[in-house]
Amino acid sequence: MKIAVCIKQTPDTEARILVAPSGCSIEEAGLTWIISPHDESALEQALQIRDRCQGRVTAVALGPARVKQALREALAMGADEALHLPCDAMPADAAVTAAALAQALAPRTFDLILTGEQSIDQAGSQVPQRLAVALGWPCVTAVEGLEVDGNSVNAERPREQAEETVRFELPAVVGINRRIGEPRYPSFRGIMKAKRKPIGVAVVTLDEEAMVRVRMRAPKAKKQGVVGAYGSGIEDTVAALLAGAAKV
Amino acid sequence: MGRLQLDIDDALLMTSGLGEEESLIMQTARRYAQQKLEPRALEGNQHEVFHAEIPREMGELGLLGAFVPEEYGGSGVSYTSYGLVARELERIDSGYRSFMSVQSSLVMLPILKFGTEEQRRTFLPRLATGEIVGCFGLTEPNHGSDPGSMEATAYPTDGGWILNGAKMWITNSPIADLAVVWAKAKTSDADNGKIRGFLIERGVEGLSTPKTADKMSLRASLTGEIVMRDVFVPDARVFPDVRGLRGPFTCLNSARYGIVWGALGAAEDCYRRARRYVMERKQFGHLLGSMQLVQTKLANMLTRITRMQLLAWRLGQLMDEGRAIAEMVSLAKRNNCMEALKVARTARDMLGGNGISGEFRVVHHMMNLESVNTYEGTYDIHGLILGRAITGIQAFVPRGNKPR
Repeated sequence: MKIAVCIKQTPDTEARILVAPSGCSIEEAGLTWIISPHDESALEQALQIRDRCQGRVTAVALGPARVKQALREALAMGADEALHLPCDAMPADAAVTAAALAQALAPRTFDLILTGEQSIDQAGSQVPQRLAVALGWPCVTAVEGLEVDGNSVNAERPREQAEETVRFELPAVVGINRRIGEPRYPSFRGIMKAKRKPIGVAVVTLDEEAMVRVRMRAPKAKKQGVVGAYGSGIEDTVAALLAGAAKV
Repeated sequence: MGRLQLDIDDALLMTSGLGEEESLIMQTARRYAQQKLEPRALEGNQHEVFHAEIPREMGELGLLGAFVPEEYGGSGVSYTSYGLVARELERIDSGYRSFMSVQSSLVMLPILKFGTEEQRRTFLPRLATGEIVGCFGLTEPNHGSDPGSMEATAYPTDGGWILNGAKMWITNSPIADLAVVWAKAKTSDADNGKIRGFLIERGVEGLSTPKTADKMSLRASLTGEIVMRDVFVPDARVFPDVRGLRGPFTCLNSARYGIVWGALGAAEDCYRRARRYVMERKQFGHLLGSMQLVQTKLANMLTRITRMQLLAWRLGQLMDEGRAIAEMVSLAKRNNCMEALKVARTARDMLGGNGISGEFRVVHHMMNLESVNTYEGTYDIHGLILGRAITGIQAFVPRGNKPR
């Protein structure tokens, strides 16, 4: 089975994000980067399926040269090969990302494409669906359980107050939620082996004009919250707060 | 100058000098330490528990003997990577780093460097996975800084050697399956003997490893003795060629290098916890962090830590280039242990009464670092090693006086 896992490199969730001097992107210098957590769980699923059913796992990432580090990490976790889709800057539009991925993946005859249901930085939740449409494949997303049996796949996903299981045939695109399970840590041996694994390049064309980011600014500092109290005097407190007289 | 803000954990951007593979190794070690060790560390330190599953967990990821070549079960990583692992483990507790250091530098390294091929194939892969635990016996009740005067003996017998003596302050000894023991090989009592290395497996008659009770430091790792009463060691379990202190000192040099990084990790954790604390706690109506005395303490901590980072990083480069010598390691071990102690004591002070509580996870570093500053060459002994290098005069043995 040939499995592709689309991973996005995102800033570490604990990183301090600053707006770049240009005013329309984040400052990348000095940032620590990670594989977006839902994508990392998708990769873990791919590795487990590969180990059970044989096959190969290809990690795929769109982005500038820095994303090769995320691909190297995916190789260290156990992916067999990696494919880099170079571009100067990450697209602002999920449609552009999905179209680029489809260009690279369509000719490579994968049986299954896994990716996170959303990225941790932009959280658009659009790429798996758009990619599936571009390929003409079925798509299931928000998946928290996955079983592959030959050409047939059972996927579990949450519903309001319930959980459902759907079955579909490969090829398909599946969007994974990180709740499906903890990804493995790259072992040191895996890290050393990753140096010898190939990172291929697929040239894709992006419609960078489709959506352009014109401005980015730091959020306004939030005021400290106030916890109200039951009992007598609460009306006065609320009134004082509304009047802006209370010290918060 | 760029307009970027100061990185308050890495003021001179030490980590930007790491290679891709080193960064990944640091990340794996950090995630393991923070997610898997930290939740057990308070229990480990307060109740003197070393959780039995830890060796295998570390082994599975490759944290044990990481620099050992793959053919013997290691991962063949750089010395810089090995140091980064020590740093991440000691961020949690020096006890965990001590366990890893002993297994890697004091047990696997001598077997790799001085062992026979059969000894390497027999022990290294199992030590790397954590299936077996090793310990290292050099220090004795009467001989700490002066191991050359050791009293443990090995006399030849049919097919091997008979060992007698006692070793103490031995990390891992109560649970060790294998002990690398240094003893004086002699043919008669009059013979001064030559120090040689012996591999002793648990279960052999005459060997016991009692646990050291009531430690106030390094409580998350086990410490004990190695007591040998007519212990037989076959010839096949003796390091064939190495003689004298060169054997144990080769191991100590590698372990001391790990401590250079480990002490840094402990200091960084103290600094971060103190920083977080003073940015949350108010006294006299103001954040502690807004007070001048507190700010200069933080500035001093960051300055000390930055110096420690740069020493560790540069020494790692020299180790990887094969250019590091023992005096360089002494300089860095001496500096980083004392600086870490100062940072830990300051952090303890900044947390006030809460700094005494185990839950705030600072006082354990302060207590642990007393051991880390003492073992593998005290501050003063490393000072004498450097003093000898500077003047050409050894001052370990006082001259002009008869021994008293």
